[in-house]
Amino acid sequence: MPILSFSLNPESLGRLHDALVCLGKFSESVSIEAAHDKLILYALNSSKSAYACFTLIGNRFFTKYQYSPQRRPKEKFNCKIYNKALLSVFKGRSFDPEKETAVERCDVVVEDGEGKTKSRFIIKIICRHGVLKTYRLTFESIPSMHAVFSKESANNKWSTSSKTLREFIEYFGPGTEQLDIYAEGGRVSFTSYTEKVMSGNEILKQPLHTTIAIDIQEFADFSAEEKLHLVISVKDFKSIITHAGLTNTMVKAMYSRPSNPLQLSYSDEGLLSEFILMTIGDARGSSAPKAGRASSKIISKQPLEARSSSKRTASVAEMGPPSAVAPSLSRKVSKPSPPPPQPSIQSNALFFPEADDDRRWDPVDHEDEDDGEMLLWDAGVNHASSGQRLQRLELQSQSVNSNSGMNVQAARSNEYEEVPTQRLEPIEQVAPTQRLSEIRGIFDD
Amino acid sequence: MSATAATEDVAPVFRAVSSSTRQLFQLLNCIRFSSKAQVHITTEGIRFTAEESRVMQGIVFLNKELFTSFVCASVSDDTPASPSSQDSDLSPDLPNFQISLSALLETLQIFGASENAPRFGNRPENDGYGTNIRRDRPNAFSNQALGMAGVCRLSYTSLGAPFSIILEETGVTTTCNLNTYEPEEAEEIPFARDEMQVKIITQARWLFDAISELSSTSPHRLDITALPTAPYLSLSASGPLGSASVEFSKGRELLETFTVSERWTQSYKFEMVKAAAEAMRLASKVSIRGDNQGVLSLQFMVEVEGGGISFVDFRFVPFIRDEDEDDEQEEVSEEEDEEHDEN
Amino acid sequence: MRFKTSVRNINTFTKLTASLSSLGKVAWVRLDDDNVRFTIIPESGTQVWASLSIDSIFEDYTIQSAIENNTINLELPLPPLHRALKSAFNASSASIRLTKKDGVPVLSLTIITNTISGGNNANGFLNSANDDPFEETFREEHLDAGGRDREAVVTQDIPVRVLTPESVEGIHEPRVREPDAHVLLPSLIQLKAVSDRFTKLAMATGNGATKSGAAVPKLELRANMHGSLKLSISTDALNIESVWTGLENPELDPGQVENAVEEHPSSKLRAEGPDAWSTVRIDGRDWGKVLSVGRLGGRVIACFVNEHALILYVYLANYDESGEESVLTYYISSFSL
Repeated sequence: MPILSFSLNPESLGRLHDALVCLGKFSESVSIEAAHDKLILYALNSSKSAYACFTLIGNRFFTKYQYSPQRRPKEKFNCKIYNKALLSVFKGRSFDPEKETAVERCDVVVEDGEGKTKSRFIIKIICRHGVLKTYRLTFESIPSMHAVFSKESANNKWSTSSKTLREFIEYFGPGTEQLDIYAEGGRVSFTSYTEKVMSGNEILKQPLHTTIAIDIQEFADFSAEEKLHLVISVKDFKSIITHAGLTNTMVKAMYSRPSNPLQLSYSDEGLLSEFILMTIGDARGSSAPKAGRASSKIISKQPLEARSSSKRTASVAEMGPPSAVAPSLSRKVSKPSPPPPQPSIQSNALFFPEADDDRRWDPVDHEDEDDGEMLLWDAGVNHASSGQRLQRLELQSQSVNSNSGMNVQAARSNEYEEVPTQRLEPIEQVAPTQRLSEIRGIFDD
Repeated sequence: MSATAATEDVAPVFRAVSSSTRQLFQLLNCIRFSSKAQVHITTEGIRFTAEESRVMQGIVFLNKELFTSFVCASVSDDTPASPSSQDSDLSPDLPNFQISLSALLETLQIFGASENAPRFGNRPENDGYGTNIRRDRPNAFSNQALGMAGVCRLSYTSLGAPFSIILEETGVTTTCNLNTYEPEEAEEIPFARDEMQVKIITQARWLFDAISELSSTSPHRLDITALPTAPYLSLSASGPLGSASVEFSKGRELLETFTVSERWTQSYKFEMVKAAAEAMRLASKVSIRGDNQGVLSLQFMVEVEGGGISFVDFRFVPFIRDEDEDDEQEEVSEEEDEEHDEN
Repeated sequence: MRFKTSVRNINTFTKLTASLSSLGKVAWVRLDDDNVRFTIIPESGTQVWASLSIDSIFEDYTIQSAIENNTINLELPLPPLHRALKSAFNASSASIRLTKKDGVPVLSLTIITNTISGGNNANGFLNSANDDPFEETFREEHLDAGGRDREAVVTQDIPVRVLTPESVEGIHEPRVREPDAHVLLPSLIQLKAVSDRFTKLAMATGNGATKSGAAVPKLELRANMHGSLKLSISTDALNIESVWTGLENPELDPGQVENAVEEHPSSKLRAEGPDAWSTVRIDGRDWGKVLSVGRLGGRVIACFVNEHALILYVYLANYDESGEESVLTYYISSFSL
């Protein structure tokens, strides 16, 4: 008996894909948590400064949803799947019902093997004319791991249309790292920038510094402290808003103080989207706005995957209650490092459909003809670039087999970190088809 | 025709004019997996053969009906080709050489003869996310964009001479001379028609859709199984991310002709079958045939614009099955049982 | 030092920066009372000297400096400028000023734009999911214009260096001898399409080392004084040539020529007949970048200095009749065999 089974109509399938694309911008694997009434898909970036979570309401998002816990009724099922595998299953399908190969329904069954049953994530896509496409994916059992956001202390709130924000993010050029959200005198500004000290010719390599200033009236609701620099990763913000902008919805922000998390949330027909982003301390505080920039040192470029071991212990304990973080303390937050290499596609993010097709005048890149695959890959796997400068989110985790659901926060948090996403089950165990061991022989001649 | 060749030494052994290069390009583009092609010119048309490691062959025949004029004479004067010579006669007297297929394709695209169709498997995901950089967007220089229809003249004067293509447009004329090389006498991959075990005729788009689907798992091997009962035809593959299969369980709706007497299952190198994807995309119908040796023949029927039907043929040599086959067969059966239970 | 202007023609300015940035990432910009000049001098490849009348892109132009003719010399990165200008595509107004932020000089582009409010548009106008390059995208507006529209002020700061007059004193436009042939080029989009194919052909069927960059395909470009232009390339696998005929060889302006017109090299080549050609060999990829100037839609005259150089003059349509002419000059060196 499967532990989890659900069915999706073509429209939900498309929305699920959109959510997966968004999650792919935070981590290369997706964590899945099933409960009796909902399915939660979430991802935490490698520096643990950003958490993305989609809650799919059982009876609204799905045409059928059934969760049958094996041991205890309240028990949740948790697993992790390589996102690229999911994206390739749900990718680029045309949901055009007119199309001969159109999808009619998608049934997903999860079998969590204990003993002889295999652990499989089986996706059946039923198309017109009875064409049946079946995928069997491997998954890994993991403890649940959610970021914690305290709504009680989040006394700053605003909300605005996803379409408006969608429009704004188009202005932010490539290569910038931070986004500063700041309100003063009835105006709210969104500034994308990168803090770097450069001299001479280097100055010209500074990315565009973009500020968008709008009237507070633009917001459906704005009740937040003024003169507060709320600084997050511009890339995370873009990832979120790109998804939010797919539908016309209200994006709600909640936060307390710099150096504490910011929550962005919105919902759309059975799908709740929630993001928790760590904010940078108020380095651009109004008292000494230029000092931080002038005195900061260039931090050598760190590989994306590198983690400082001294920071590894950072977890719940390090983050005191929001009110305890004094502005002076927060200024000690490490200065931003230079931006990691950007995927090529990003540097080309364009502003507007060029009605006169200006691009045809662009020089042909003769060596870049076959990187279509790369585009595909980039869409699926986009490492978080936030690097080292952001503190980690507070995480709440549960051990995988714990029936008591006890908190094992810090320890579990490290364990999670050490699990390489590549450690999927060996393929041989799951290949449903024959393995022809010496198949290459014929080509060797 | 024979008279021309016999009396005038300077007359090219072959010349042809096509009112549009587009159809020629579309057909030849189906076998672009190889950078070289063997060319056989006959009185009935031109045959282009491409092959890969002797385990895959693709053949495009450009019927003379695709040309507004088509003249082919025998190379040697003493054996003039008579109009009564056999259709597909590949007599050594008829022009036979090797050229760079990639160069020919590029040349035919000089004025955007190609629609610059989406490259198979490379399509960026339609994720609606931000970028308008789409590899598969129509080429700005496509025929439609430039409002041009190419006139193309092909000629081959004599042994050792280049294969010439002249493209004429308003205000500009392009001449391309492709060097010709000694033919490599490639043996055709043998397909035993009298030992045929599977014959399925269906719309080519089903095959295209299935191969596109499976390619997302980046598989090495493609398994094709045909059964006299449901699911009739199944294509499956497994890659590092898991496994995938496509089944045509309502066989009768999809498969026009279905002749399978007993279970037939074979494995092929996925990348090779995928190389025929352009043909699958372009063709209206495909005949899928398998013989007792496991050789797979895919015959694509392409209805080119402006009427007329052309054929593109592919043949594939299967992987050799190893001795573990029986064990693995069991696993497959088990899988199938599961599925039947679920359905 | 003061510089402030409104941008009159964002579209032209955007296309100009796009064309220039394909050849070099950094431009020397000289602004003064009379015109605006962009100069790109890459380490290798084609130089561009673009001189634009102020009216062609700017209006309400104010410039002040201690240097003669109120000249300001800047060094600025083209990609961010291009990006910033693109973001002003739908602006209701855009202006540029030279200022300092955090002690760093910047060209600050201020864009006033109306935001979508209410959000009942299916696609934001900046959304770029439009696949059809020829389909015009229109921003949907409320019937009651101005009622719900709200303004956003977008500021794009482009880092610049302000150069001293001494540092640019020694930079001069290249001097080239009188050309042997000059011809009005055919449709640049066609020429670019064919040139790009040739370059691709050469790389695909090439002579081995083409991918290393050391042996980038060289296109041979020839013109006569009887209206023909030839583009050709040879590789191991093929040779290919495109010929354009019926082109115009513009008459020389006697006032622009040092000696008598009939003494001019092009007059001599004309006298030698249609089989007399002036030839240059150019880097196929560099040429593709040069031809991207076609997006500006100007008239392009190519001047051939046999075996030495090719000079392109791109004449832009003027904003009004009276204004000074805007011309982009491309200096392309010929490779020897």
